[in-house]
Amino acid sequence: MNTATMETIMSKITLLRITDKAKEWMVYGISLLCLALFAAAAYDKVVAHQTFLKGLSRVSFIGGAAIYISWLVPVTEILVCILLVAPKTQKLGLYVFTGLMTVFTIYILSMLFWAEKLPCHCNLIIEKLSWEQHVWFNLGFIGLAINALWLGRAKETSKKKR
Amino acid sequence: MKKLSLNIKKIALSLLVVGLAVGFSAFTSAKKTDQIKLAPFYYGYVLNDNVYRLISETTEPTGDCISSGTNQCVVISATNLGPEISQGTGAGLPAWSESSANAYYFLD
Repeated sequence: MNTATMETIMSKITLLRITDKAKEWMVYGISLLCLALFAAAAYDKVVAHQTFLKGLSRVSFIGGAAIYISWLVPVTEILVCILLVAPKTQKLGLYVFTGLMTVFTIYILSMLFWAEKLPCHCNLIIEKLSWEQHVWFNLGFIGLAINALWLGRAKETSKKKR
Repeated sequence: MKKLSLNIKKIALSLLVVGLAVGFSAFTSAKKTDQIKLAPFYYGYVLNDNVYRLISETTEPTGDCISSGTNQCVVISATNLGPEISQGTGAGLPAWSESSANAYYFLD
């Protein structure tokens, strides 16, 4: 294989590779999306707290814990927002975001499969979506967050190699 | 120094995004509140009894509601003396059947 052919192959590989800078900005962009979602969701839950609490109290397996969950959820969302704002804690924020969204998705799925009656949409992040649509919405965001974490890790690995 | 300046820019952009998200959320919830202020009384259609019952804090509609024919699941009225059924238009609220056949619509 001659030098010219090698150079052509290497330049093609370079084009396909995402630069570290691009990875950094992709991770940051995804973090901003997650931040926007949770900021809006936390605001809604705090401002319309009674509606959120009412919706939760109608869920049979939540029962008396509704009042605690009705405050725990928005407080945790605000905490995740703070973690995502600061660049140093962004990675931790993404981990907590992924965990929280997984919990929400499991809640929605359990309601869809086992609840006798579905309550209002007031305890969903986006009230305009149906319960089924919300599952896909959540899975999309979980996928994005996992992708951001993977990109961040790939960037750290390539830095160590140098 | 360069990294510090970049971090400050990132934090500023993040805060801007938070502000925009909260602002948008506040705008959409204010729109909903205005709608409710204009029409204080809501009546829910009870399929089993074929009547409209006042929806309030203490009285919730019972039975499933699926919009049938021209009967909307939720109608508005300026009084608590009963809805004007001939109006037939809901308050722009989703019908219960749009969430699920067994869903209920709760109001503040």
